[in-house]
Amino acid sequence: MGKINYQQGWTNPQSNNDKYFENKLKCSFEQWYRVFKNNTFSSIVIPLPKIFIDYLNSDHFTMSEESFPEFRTEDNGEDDEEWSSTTPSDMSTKLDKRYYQSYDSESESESDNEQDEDDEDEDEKEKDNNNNNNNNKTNRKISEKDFPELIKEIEDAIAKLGGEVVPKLNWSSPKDATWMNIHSSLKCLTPTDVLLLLKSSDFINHDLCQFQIEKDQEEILKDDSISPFTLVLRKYHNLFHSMEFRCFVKNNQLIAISQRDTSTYYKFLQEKKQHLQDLIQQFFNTIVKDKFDDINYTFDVYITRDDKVYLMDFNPIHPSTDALLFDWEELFEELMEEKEEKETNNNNNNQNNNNNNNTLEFRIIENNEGIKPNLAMTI
Amino acid sequence: MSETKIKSVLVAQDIKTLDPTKLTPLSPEVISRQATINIGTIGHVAHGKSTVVKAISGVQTVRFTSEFKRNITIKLGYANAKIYKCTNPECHRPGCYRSFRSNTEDSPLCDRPGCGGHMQLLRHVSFVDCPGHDVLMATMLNGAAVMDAALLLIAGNESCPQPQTSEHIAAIEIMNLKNIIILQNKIDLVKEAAAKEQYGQILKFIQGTVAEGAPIIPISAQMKYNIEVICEYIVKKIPIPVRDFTSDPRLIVIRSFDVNKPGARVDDLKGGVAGGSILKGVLKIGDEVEVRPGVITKDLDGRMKCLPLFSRILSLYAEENDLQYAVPGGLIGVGTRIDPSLCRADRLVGQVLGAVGKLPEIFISLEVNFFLLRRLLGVKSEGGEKQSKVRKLAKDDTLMVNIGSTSTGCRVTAVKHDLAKLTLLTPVCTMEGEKIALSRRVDKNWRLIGWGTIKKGTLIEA
Ligand SMILES: Nc1nc2c(ncn2[C@@H]2O[C@H](COP(=O)(O)OP(=O)(O)OP(=O)(O)O)[C@@H](O)[C@H]2O)c(=O)[nH]1
Ligand SMILES: [Mg+2]
Ligand SMILES: [Zn+2]
Repeated sequence: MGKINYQQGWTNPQSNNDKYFENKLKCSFEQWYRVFKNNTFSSIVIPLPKIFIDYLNSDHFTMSEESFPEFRTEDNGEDDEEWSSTTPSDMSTKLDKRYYQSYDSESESESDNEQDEDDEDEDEKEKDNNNNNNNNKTNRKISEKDFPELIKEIEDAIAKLGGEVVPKLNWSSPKDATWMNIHSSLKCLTPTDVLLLLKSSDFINHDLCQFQIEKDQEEILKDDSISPFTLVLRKYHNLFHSMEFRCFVKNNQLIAISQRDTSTYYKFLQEKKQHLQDLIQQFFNTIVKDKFDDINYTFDVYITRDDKVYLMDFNPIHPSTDALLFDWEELFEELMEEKEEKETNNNNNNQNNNNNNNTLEFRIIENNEGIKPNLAMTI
Repeated sequence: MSETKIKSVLVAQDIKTLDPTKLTPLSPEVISRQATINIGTIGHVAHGKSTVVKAISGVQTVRFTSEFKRNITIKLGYANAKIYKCTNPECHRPGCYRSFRSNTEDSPLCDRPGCGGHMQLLRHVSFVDCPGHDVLMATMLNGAAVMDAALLLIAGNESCPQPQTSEHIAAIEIMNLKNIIILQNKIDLVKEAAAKEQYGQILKFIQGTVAEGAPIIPISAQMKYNIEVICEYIVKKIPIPVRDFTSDPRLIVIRSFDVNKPGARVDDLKGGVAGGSILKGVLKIGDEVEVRPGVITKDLDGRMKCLPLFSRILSLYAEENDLQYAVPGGLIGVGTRIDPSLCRADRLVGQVLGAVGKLPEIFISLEVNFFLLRRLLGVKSEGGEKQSKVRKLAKDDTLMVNIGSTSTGCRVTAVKHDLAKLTLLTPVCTMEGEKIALSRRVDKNWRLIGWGTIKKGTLIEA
């Protein structure tokens, strides 16, 4: 296993899982984009400085007045100091003091622990010394004004890509955070749109866990030093989610395809299924196979109305990749843990394994089972 | 296929004879096809919430996503079930109670050998399967607005109280849920004496809480033991929710999609579909409806504008059942003539669909009366005691605000005592007096920090 090189001073915290991480690195956007540039949507990769990673990791989340996208109406020049009511609500007096802070006991509570917290905000330098690193990272106050060059770079990239982009980090897009987007989607028109999405997403947090600054480097690494993280901006398209598919490759063979939007029944997919499968198989044979640097992986595709196939992404074979309409055990039994379950499943799996050698299974949602929540979103 | 057979045994709905003033959450023509009572499941990770829902409804609600360990529910899941009682007096409780999937016929044969009687449909419930993961409690509390009752799960093979159980009781108290059934699960894993002892612990523990007096049922979700007792208690102990069927209808959108084949000819194009739950009133096929705020656009001088959408209802469905009309309870799909590309990929989530001209105003900023939790709900993560304290609201905070079932971002522009002004990231169709929930990023996760009520706001013309 070759030693993996990434930016100096950074390391992978789960280093006991080398093989998986090695595979994961191959699926990092800038890695595969070099090879498959012509078969995917136009994208721009922006290397990220350390300060931006600190910004994303920090819980401190404020947006300046000018940049927070605001709706303006005629009388919007309203006064922030003008209040509709000044009398305390009757509600707060009914609230259970065990669970709720009461503002009228403010003076009293400020004398105890809560004071500490306000102090901490004011005086974070000092606290930094006492607290553990984790705390520093989530509390450091950084604003978008602290990395103006990067903001400019994002602005230019958006313009270059036609004015509308979808952001992601090395692996994930913030699709669980579309509630924090003015268009209720991943569509971004400004750097602020990008920052709001990235700072609100668990999927982005997950990417951020993949690299950490080495212990002895914390003090040494400069804010503007380049991290192993990259911001990817991709040209925005109003895609049909019905036409996105995840494809599973085992031993360099395409063994399975799944509809990606597993929450919706698309009737028309039924009659198109064979045709789509042929397109994907052909795309795999001519474009992907042997060109991706592994023999076990998943890749996602989008198929346009005129049958063009586009690459969307790669993912490692691992429980952390969603197998969608398949169970990992059906596809890669030998790679999955949970040995004790194996025994009982043996019969089924033998069968599956035989099938896998020469057939390709394509699964789609075949019945309308009613409205289901979108699992990628916070409700 | 069996599908058509099943459909034909459901009670027919007829718009011509529909009289909303006569409808109740138990009307046979309603519960034949859609759920009318919402029940949440609450409990710690892996205490068996999803397994219980599966045992009652036959529907697997767990879906794993990539970011967490497998076998853990990370977002709300939904599953509907019909609850029946055998009409043969020879069939005794609790065995005479049964539950089946939502598309089951209304009077199936009793399966007790030798009974030969038919079962009668008593309830059609929708389960909201809440995530057990602590950091996701915000999701649970936000979704809680629509719960009529809760099943509180406690694992029988652990001592009670577990730290999280107190948190769950607190959550139930905060949500103001009064109807609770406690399930002592995994009873198959413990000896009778241990189960009895835990039963005593639970009784003692719930004294003086909202859960005091709640029935405690020992069950094994896995072995399907005592599931009929849960069904019986749902029928007997959970009061029929009071619903408003006669007001102008209003549905809050939680999903929207475009089901067309890309490149379909205009003539073949199907309109957009919106899915969600009805807050009040009855939606009927043929109704003219409005969706607010609608499409958000920028006009020439850079001003943002909302253009509400207008359409007619072409179809309605709940789970796989077609409807002529739909009432509050469970999730409903609404087929419309709205430009499908506007509905694609959940674009309409958080919007409100309802009677034309009867929907509330659209707000772009709010003045709220808020109250903050003392500390975060849920068991603390690594951060230690300190982190679980809730910091005061401050100007410039970027927060998540939930209004009804809508989530959006907001910026705090001013705070005074228990009043705050919030600038909304997206315009929201709501009303003065409406309840809101506030969440803040803590330890990289969105955590519920408090509640509020809308006092006033800035409106946008539509
Ligand atoms: N022996 C036994 N195991 C059970 C029982 N109920 C559930 N389990 C097992 O407990 C594990 C967790 O069950 P789930 O139903 O996923 O638990 P949950 O509370 O929904 O979990 P989260 O959604 O992750 O919070 C599974 O492996 C179940 O098979 C039971 O009654 N007896
Ligand atoms: Mg679950
Ligand atoms: Zn019977």
